[in-house]
Amino acid sequence: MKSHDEDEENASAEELREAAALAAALEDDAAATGSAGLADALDAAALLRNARAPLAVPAGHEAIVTAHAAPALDARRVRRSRRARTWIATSLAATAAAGWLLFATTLNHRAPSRMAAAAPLPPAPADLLAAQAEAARGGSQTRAALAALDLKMRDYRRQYQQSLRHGEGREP
Amino acid sequence: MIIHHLIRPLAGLMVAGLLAPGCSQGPSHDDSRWLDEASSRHALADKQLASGDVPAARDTLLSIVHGRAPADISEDDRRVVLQDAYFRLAKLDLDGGDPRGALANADHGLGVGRADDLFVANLLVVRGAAHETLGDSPAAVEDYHQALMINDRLLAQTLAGKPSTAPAPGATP
Repeated sequence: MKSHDEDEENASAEELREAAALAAALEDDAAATGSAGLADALDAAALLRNARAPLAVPAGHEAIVTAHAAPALDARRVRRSRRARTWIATSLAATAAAGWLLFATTLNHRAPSRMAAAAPLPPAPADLLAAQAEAARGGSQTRAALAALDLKMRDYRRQYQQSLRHGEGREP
Repeated sequence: MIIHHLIRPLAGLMVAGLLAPGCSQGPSHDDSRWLDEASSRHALADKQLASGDVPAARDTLLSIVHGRAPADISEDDRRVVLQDAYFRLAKLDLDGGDPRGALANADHGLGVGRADDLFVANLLVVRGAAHETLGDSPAAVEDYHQALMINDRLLAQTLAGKPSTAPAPGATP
């Protein structure tokens, strides 16, 4: 295998001229050129420069480029638009779900059941309250008064249980 | 790419999962069943007491307080049902010569919650009687006094034609 130095030594005069012209062209020193390989060197330098610069389509080629690139660009646009719709739909769904969850949670928190928003107890009858007051006096008659209170409670118990079942009138 | 294709179905599933429990919220039949059950047990206890079977009546009333209340029933409704059963249990204890048992049941009942209503006043009365039987007069007087204060307010409400409950959330037993 030849080394780089050997290659330089064995290079033809024409190759050396082309190399010098290329170097000069890369330096944008067009005045330094003037050899036979000038055109090739300028082409190579232009290619190298264009590799770093944005592509510019020559005016005459625009129709061809449009014909080839337009369908690909359209397809890309459609894909982007579909993706955007998906994201919008997903975001809306997530927002709606979060809203519903909040609503349902609040509903549950404020009204654990339909009965929770119901039913003051029916008014305690005056004779029941009188029996209770009698029992609260204490003393030797307490047991008898408690028995009377217990009997009065049986009627009232039926009333309040009915009101709880029907959920009538209890304030939230 | 796979994730991109899964987004829609996943979003749909998520929404459905959230909507399902929300839509299934409706009136609970458990509340009504529990109240019916308590009501029929009170009636059974009445019959058992009428026939002199106190232990059976006690067991029946205990089944009310040991029964599992529906999770979505209002705290106030649950309190009322339980306190009424505890009042009857305490009275049975007192009638059976067990004032300590009566005191314990009254305390359990008052521990469920407080309000200025008939059920709390009943428990205070029966607890006062238990204290009195045990010779603890100051405690008895205190309970009787509190019961009479509630009783007085309830009487005023009854005479004014107002509902007989005034819950006092956060009040301590």
